[in-house]
Amino acid sequence: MSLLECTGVTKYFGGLAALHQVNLQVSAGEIVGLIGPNGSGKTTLFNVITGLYPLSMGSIRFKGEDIGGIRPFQVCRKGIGRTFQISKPFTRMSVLENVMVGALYGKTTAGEDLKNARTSSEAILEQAGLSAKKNARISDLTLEDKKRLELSKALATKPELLLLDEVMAGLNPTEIKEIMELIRKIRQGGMTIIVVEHVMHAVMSLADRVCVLHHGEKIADAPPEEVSRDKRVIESYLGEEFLLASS
Amino acid sequence: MPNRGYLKILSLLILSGILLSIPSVLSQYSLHMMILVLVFVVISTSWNILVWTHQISLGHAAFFGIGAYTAAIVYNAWQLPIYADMILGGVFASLGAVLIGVICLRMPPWALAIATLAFAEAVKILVIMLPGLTEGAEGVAIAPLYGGGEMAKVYAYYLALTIAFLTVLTAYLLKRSRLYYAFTAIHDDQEAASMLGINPTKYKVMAFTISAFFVGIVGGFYAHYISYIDPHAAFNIHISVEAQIMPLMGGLYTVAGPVVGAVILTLLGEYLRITVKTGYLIIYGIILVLFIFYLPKGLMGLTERWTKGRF
Repeated sequence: MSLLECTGVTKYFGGLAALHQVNLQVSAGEIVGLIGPNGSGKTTLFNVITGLYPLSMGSIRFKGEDIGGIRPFQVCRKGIGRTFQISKPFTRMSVLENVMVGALYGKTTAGEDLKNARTSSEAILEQAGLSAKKNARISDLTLEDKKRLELSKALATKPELLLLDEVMAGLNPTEIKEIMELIRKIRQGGMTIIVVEHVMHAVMSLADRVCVLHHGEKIADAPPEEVSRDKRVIESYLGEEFLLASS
Repeated sequence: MPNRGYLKILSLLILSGILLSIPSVLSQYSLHMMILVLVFVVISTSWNILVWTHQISLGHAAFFGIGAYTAAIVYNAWQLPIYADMILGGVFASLGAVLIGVICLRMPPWALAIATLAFAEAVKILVIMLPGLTEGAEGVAIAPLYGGGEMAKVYAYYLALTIAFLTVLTAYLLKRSRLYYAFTAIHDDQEAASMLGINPTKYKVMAFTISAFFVGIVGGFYAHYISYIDPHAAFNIHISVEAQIMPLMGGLYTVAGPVVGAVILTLLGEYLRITVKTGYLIIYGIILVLFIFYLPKGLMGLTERWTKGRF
């Protein structure tokens, strides 16, 4: 049974279909890349899965359970974590406190108490390489720090499926390598991940499988090497074929 | 740091000592002022709790008035002990908060502010339009608190002190609790908060309820204390305005801030009203603007280096 099963997922905004009959299965332990030109519906798909937008048509099943139409906080409780394209830290709290929010509320209402939440959050920050800055204010963080923080917050909710939305946007090559290492480490811990990215070499290198969206429709779903040679995919990127060559 | 701990406890003890012994040294008029200060400490602290979830109420007088009228009506009808009808006042204020809170859930802060303002006016009009229940515009008279003798003000003071203490204690415990993380997360970024498992509805309505409860109780107290309540006094916009200015001046997001603001502004307001007579509201406005521009963190912001946001 797939961990996540999107069947015929369709999302209308007025008369425009941002997503049209998208089928996507993700099995436990996979890293699935989700790519496509700007406006192809990648973030919309994430928003629909996480309940930020209601589904127009189709179904979304997570661990066999229908999660279509439930609210974002409920989606989180079911075990899906998500980072945002433009990171959304809580600016009035320190780095550690940001992560603690996830630890305190990510699962049940009872959650963890403050002391346990602090300990587990410190461990997550350690893994993400942010231990040194755990008491820092958000304004003191670099862009890469913010991405690591965004990841840590999602991890604190103990998800089984992690949705990463362009986590590498704006990073330099060294930083990208570091984040890729972090993602690999997270996967090794048993996480299933869907990665939306424009940094092609990163996606091709990380993913077991790559799905390609174009104008809200899935046009490819195959291992990276096949996708990078797929004619329709290359066409949809209109001449950016050099970006598709795996590094 | 043991020294810091001792200092805190010592200063709290001194403060308690002062507060408890005040009635023996003050005149009746000054005691009345202190009671007013305590009433506003409750209103100010409660309003601030709501701000912790980024919900800004311009109609807190609604809860004060609901509490006042509930207590007055219940007392006149059934002569319940005053603690009972004050708590009932708090309960009904909370119910009102749930109502307006749920209505305002998806509103941005500015719309919520206007909606709460309208809510206060609506409740006031409702009270005027139901004279069978509320005596309408004429107001409700109640038997004076504690018999109205010389000691009455003293007992009233201790009662107000108790209510104020409980309110500030609640704010203090809240700020150190797990709940504060949910409130602050919702305040800073509601979408991100919900993605981390926080139900925004639950906590926003919860904050509204807690915020209204104590204001309702102190409204009930005030009705008994003044032994008379009418729509104009109970739902006075002044209450809503003070509810905002006091925490702003003292320091939003702190526990001591609203208290400091309440003390200063109640006393200052009274002083201005005596000396300047007209136009003292302009001075209030000037103070508000000055604080927003130059001291956005309020007076407690000045002490941030020492208190480190613990208060």
